Amino acid sequence: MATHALAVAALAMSWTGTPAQVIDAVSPAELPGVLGALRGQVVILNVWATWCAPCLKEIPDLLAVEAELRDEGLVLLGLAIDDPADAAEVERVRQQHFPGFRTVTRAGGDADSMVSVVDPAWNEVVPTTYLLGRDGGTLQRLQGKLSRQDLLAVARRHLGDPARQ
Amino acid sequence: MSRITASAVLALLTLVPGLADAAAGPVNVSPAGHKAMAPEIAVAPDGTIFVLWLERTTRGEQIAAAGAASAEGHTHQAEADIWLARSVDGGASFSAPGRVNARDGAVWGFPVSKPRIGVSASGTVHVFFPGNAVEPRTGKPIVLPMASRSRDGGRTFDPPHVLGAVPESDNSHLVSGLANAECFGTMTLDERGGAFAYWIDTRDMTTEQPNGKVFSAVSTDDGATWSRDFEVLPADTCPCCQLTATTAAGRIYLGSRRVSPAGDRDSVVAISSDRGRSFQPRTAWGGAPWRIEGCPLKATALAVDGAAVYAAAFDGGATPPGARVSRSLDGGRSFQPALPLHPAAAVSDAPVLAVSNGVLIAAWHAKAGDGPRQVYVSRSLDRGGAFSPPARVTAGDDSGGYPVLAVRGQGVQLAWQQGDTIVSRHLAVDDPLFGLAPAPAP
Repeated sequence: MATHALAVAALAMSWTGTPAQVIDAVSPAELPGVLGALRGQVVILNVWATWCAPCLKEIPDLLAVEAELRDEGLVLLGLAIDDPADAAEVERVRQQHFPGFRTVTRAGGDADSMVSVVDPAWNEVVPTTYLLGRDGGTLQRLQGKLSRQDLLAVARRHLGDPARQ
Repeated sequence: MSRITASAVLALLTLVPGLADAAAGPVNVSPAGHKAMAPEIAVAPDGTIFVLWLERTTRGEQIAAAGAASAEGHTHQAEADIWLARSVDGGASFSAPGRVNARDGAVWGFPVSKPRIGVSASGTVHVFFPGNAVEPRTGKPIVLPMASRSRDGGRTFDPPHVLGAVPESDNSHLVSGLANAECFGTMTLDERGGAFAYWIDTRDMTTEQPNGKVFSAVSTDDGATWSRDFEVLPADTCPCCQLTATTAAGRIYLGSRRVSPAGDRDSVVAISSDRGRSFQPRTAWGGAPWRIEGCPLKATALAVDGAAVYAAAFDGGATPPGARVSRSLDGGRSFQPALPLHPAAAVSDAPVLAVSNGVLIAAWHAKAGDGPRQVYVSRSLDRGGAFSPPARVTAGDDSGGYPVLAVRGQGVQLAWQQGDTIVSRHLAVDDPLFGLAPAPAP
């Protein structure tokens, strides 16, 4: 739990201007706390894996969208579903190719249990991208690699959704 | 049966642990202390039940010493072991497991890319798996298809045959840190000592053409020797959707997902009538087109009963998406629209099929209501025209999933992953679990 608390704290810091990049292993029980720290923002939660080539092609576009809309209240968080034993590999890939990509990994439980925190009907397809509202609710699920234009359009729509302000 | 004899049988059932339970409920196959996943099952002609599974390991030596991931960061490195247990008492109990692969971490595997097992008419146990190796020219890791057999009832296995050639291409920049990947495969056996292996192959993958080809190798002497590998399907196969295959009446049926030019990933069935030398044009099953640029990781399950060919898959293009089954009554030339197996579930996936005594049995995992996913079964008494209501097999709070089936007696032997444990039970075609009334066709 100590590492989990650290992750939440670091996530919170990263949106106050500190360039903290976070990778930490969390369990399904801990994931709601991580997401709860992001309340008040519109969150892109990207479910990915190091073995998923389309996922890795999509991440640069996700980062670009976050950079463009950060000031409007958009944040990006990855959820890597790699086996917990591969956490070091997740971090190696992230550091080497996407150092600005904040992500969490699995500390335990299966991938389905993790993603079910936001989507009990997840069908184990990656990449899967969720738009979470400022209240933490799941607004939309998108599957497959998306274009930067599509990601921008979706994010802008939800940033402007008065029902979730 | 006399009263005395009946009493003696009852006493015997009481005295022999697990025997009475075998008829009533599931039996643990993998022992405590094992973190098991991805079961497969086969039943030998003498009734012996074989269940194998995967366990991840960090002991792999060869891959750890090989090259790093690709420039794109994509990494497919994984080390696992195959464990095998057998039951000679009808599934009442299972032996202590033995490891199939001799070298630590020799297997590249996941629940969606798992080894296959079959038992030939001679009783030879065949295991086909994606094996970790090192590409000699570059020193990079490569995944190659391997087959190993046991002629002593699964107690020991011969060193594996490597069935796929080591390509000259270095595709580590495209598909992974691997030089190439020859994986997501399957194997089927015929009654004449034939073993037919298929896998998805990245050797001809390019940036412009990111899909896989299907290659094959064939043994006609019960796995003693194997042919050189050869291409059977062109470069339009979903590279992450594991292949399936079955044989019936001298034909081989191969299930895959074909990627259309528009990006649809449709389940298709290919049929060979010449022991795998060639395949007829693939026929689409009865599901909806599913367009996605991602890793669906969805296989196409098959079962054959005479002229009836059944295909089941996750139908991502359907409304709602989920596990569906489609039938062909003309030997696989055309398929009827797919029917949902579990329309009320929030999600249903990983369907498998078997036909026992003319009864089509389906198993899958699904989430219906609160809690984690569980394993469900259904049956059709009219060759796939209608199915009984979904019946939950699993119990408890642990997630249950990835079921597999093998025909045994007047029913099927079912195995699945329950938490970190592999569990098995028999299910008769007339088991009360199937309910009384078939579900109406939608």
